[in-house]
Amino acid sequence: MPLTFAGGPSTAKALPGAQAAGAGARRALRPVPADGSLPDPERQTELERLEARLRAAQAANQPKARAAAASAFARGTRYAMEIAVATMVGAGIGWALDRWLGTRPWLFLLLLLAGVAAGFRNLMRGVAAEAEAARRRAGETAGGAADEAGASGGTGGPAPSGPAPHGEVRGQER
Amino acid sequence: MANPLEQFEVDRIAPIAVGGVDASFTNASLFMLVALLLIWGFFLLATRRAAIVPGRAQAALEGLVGFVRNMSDEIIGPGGRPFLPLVFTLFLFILVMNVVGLVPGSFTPTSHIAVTATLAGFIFVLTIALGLARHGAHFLGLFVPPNTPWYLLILVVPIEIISFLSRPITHAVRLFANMTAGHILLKVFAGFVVSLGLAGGALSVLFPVPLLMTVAFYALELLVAVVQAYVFALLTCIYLNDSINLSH
Repeated sequence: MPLTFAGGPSTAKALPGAQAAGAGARRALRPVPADGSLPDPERQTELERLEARLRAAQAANQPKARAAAASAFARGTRYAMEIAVATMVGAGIGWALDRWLGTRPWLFLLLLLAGVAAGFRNLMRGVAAEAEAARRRAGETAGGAADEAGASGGTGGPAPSGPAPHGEVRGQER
Repeated sequence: MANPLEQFEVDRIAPIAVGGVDASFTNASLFMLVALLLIWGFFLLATRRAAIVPGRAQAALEGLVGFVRNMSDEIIGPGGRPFLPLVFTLFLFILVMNVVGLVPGSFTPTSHIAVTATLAGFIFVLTIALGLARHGAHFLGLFVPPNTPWYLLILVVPIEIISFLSRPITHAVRLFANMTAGHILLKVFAGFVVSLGLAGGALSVLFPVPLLMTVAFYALELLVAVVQAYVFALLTCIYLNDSINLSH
């Protein structure tokens, strides 16, 4: 971490040089544009202002309830058909095998049941994945709140460093 | 009352036959082309003056790309980046087709299972080819959950195979069924407005009721159009993840 020297607000005020160095390091940490050129300082402040405005706007109109309902709707429709379709696929395979092997109706019945089981298995797997995602989101919200507190602590320090690429991505998502 | 299924009829605009196969330019082709042109125009607008501080159009496009990128990163991880263009293309194409289809008098290509099944079938074949290319025979381990006793495998493997084979069907039917059902519902309620209005007497007074319902359903359908495009892309990511990371 290159910015450990940029301490609390008073330290930062006392050490403008250190703060400038911190800003430089922070700039260096930003993703480099595709053409390889770093934005010049003027554009940099402009960018930072835009970022602050964006964050304020996002905080101001977070449609929490509606967003939650929409995403629940998306998740719900995903699982609505799992059992029906898996049952039909199982029955279809059984029917085809019966015709081919002349074992009517045994494979049909067997694979129909296997299809029902497959449908429930898909559903259970989906529910497990949802629970996992919900747990992760809950942890993330707590982490994000802590990060916010740290950033407003006065250093204007760098974005909280995500250890893994996954962590970084989630940081962007919030 | 107008037939609610009329809106799904495919008309040949320019009959073309290639070697005895009917490859006519239909209204479905037309509206796919409209979707394509709209996306093209949007991209042109968004990238015309590319700037570090984005304008409105550029911010909208960056938001869309970021949304799909986050989804892919979260589900697949870094290995999903090469497939991001594919997932993004699918998402945007389906989204625009769904939304354009809500314009009265237009046609919704995604309300035809031929369209959605083609897209889902392509993903299905791609995930199998990709899994076999990356992991060879290990890819078949997808059908063998870890820590399963051997005597249960006799039962579990057929179940896993059925569950795998049902993937492209749920993938295709979900989008198709949502779009078709929504459009039928809208047409039926809109039809009630006319029939009640023409019924005369006390019934005519009731015509605003289905009209309000139609407006409410339109809002819902707009949500469904966006959500189903998202779900299609989400499932594509989940299926690609199984092939790339070989997880259960």
